[in-house]
Amino acid sequence: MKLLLTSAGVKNATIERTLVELLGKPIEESSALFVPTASWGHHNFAGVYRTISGRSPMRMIQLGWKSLGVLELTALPTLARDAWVPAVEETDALLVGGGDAVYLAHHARACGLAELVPSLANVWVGLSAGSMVLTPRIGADFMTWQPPDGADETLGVVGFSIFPHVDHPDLPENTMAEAERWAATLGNPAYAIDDDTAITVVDGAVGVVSEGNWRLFAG
Amino acid sequence: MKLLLTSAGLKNPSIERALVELTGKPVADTDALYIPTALYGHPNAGPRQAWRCLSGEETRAPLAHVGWKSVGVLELTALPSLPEDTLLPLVRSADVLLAEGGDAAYLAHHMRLSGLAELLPALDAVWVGLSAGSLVMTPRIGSDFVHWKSPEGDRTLGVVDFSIFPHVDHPDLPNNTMAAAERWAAEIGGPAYAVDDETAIRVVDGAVDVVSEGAWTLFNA
Repeated sequence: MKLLLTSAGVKNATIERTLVELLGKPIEESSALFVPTASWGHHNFAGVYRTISGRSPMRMIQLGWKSLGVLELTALPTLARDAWVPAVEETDALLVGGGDAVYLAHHARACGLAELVPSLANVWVGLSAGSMVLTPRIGADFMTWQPPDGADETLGVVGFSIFPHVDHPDLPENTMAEAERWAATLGNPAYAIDDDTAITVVDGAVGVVSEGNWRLFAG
Repeated sequence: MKLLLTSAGLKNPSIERALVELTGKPVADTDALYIPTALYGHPNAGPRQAWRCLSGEETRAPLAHVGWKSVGVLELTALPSLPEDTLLPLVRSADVLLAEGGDAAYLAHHMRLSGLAELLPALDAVWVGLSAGSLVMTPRIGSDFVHWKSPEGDRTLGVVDFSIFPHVDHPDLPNNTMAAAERWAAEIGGPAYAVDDETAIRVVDGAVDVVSEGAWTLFNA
């Protein structure tokens, strides 16, 4: 699976160009499934409606995809695997929305999507928690939903953590200095990225695409 | 709880007027919670149809996009993994609960599991069902409408004492004829309405009446 881990979606031309490269074809010829599940963990019930109606300020679904569907992870354990696994395998992109990363990780494991991820050939486009869910851990600062084991562990598909939305005007605590303190608690490498930055992972090779500001902390 | 059980949503002015009477306010002043859950359980629905309904691309069966003041999404399958005190304030904040179509047995299963089924009698909100979102309130749906294998078989919630056969004579559903509905009603045994997409059944304090600009039949009365 190829990863495009964003803070706020496909925010600028550089990130959009990178998405097209990863897809290997224009967005207009690509199919996508949107995963809203992380929103529930933050009790953001109105946000999902706004996003799917195309009214979110964050660009991810409104890029002109050939087709779109909803992949609701919490519904999957009560469905037959052949009712959803083929749809996941056939889609060109999974668009994984923000919210609570630990809640999302819990349901990605519970439904079987987590174990499917390494064998998928498509592109995972993460937004905020939809990116953080693939990291080894998110750090205590980003914990809201309490998982059964209380841990901040996410799926560990990549070896680094992510601090999103650095210097966002609406999030005064998301400063680079705060990210540095956060990174020191993790014990693994970590990127702090602003909303104009994304991290790509292709065959294990990590790259950063940015029209903004980012830092890598060694951990 | 007041119910407006439609086949295809707020399809015509008579059905919309019935809703406004039930809520006591215009649609533009009405806060809605939309329940997409049934969509995921039906082989003809799934991810693509869920997108169409939530995004407003689906115009044949209007429900989520008719000009509500606000719309939140109540995903029943997510509730068991959220704190127990999540559901009650959420449904109390809504004037209407919009139950989308799909698989009625799957929806019934998750209404029981999430605790919503148990809360229904205490709610002031109006339940607006569409197809499976209406069927879920009936005692049983009949074997013709069983797709998802429920531990409860074709038994749904039984909030009302009649069954419903929706989409009669729908051009895209050649099996949904009034003759098929009559055979289905014979299996059901109890009272059963067959309704087309221009018809809705209203239930207030146990009193049932039909709102229609189309065709409907009551069997086993």
